[in-house]
Amino acid sequence: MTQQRGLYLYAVVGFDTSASPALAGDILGVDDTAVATIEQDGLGAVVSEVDLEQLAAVVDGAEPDLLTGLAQRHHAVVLAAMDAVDRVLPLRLGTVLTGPDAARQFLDRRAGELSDGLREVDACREWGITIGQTDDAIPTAAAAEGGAGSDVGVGTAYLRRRREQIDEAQRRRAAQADVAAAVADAVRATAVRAAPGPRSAGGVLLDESYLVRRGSEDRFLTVVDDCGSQLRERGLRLRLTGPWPPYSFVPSTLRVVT
Amino acid sequence: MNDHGTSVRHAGTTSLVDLLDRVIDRGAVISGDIVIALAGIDLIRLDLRLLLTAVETVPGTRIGGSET
Repeated sequence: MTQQRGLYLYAVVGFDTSASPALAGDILGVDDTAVATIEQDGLGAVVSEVDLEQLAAVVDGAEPDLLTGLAQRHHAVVLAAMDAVDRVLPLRLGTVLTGPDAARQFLDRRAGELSDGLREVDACREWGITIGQTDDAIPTAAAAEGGAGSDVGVGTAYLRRRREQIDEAQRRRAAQADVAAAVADAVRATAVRAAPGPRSAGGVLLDESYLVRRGSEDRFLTVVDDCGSQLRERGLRLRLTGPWPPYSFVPSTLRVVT
Repeated sequence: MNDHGTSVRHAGTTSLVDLLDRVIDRGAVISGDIVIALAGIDLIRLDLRLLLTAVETVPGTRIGGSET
C-alpha cells in the first residue's frame, strides 16, 4: 500500500525535566505544517507531517530551488530546537518516518545511543574552518631575472631560474602546510572534538569542523582571530563559518527494525 | 586583533552553499522499516553534490538564522 503522508524527522532532543520546552514561536516545517515534539522518557523527536508526493518532487532533484528550500526549512527547525534546548542531535536531511509510532519506537529502541550522543553535544555548537590560498596570485621571489650573464648559455640560465622557481614554490607550499597544521592544533585545543569538513578531500589546506562548548567560544574565536593574521602573511586565507548545530558530530547510523 | 577579525569572520552571513555543505550528507542516519524509503533519495544525495555547483551561481543568496 502506498502511504500518502509521513513524519519528517528533524532532530532528536534531550530534556532535563519531564516537560519539554516549546519550540520557539510557531515554526513551520517542510510542508508548512506545524512542528511538534513526540516525547519518550526524556527524549524528543522533532517532527512535522509531510506529504510524500510533494517530498518526492523535491527529492526528484529536477528543481534545485525545491531542494535548497527543503535544506533551509530543515536547518531552521533544527536551529529553533537549538534555541529551546541544550541537547540537539540533527538528523540527516530527508529522513521520513512512517508515523508517530515509528518515532516512539525509534526513541525507545535507540535510547542508549541517543542519550550518549546528546550528552556529547550538550551545550556545544559546531564551527567550520577552511584554509586555502588567497585569491591574488603568489609572487615568485625568483622571478627577478637579471641580465643574462654572457659566459653562461641562455639555456642554462633559463633552466637554473626554472629550478629556483620550483624550489621556492615547494618551500612555500611546505611552509604553508606547516602553518595550517599549527593552526589546526591551536584551534583543536579549544574544541571538544574535531571532524573532517565537507570539502576536506578538495584542494584546500585545511577543512575541519569543530565541536565547541558555548562557554569556550570566546577562547575559540580569539585563537581563530590570532591565526588569521599569521596565515595572511603566508598568502593564506582562513574562513570561519558558524555557529552551526552539531551536524558533523552525531552517531552515524541508527537501525530500527520492527 | 579586531581588525584581523573582520576578514576572518564573515559577520554572520551564511551563504546557501555553506548551508548545503553543512546539512547535506551530515546528521544522524536512521535505517530500517520505520523509515519510508523515498524512491531515489539515496541517488539524490549523490546528485546534490552536482546541484551545489548550480546553486553556487545563484546571486545574493543569504540565509539568516545561524547568527548568535
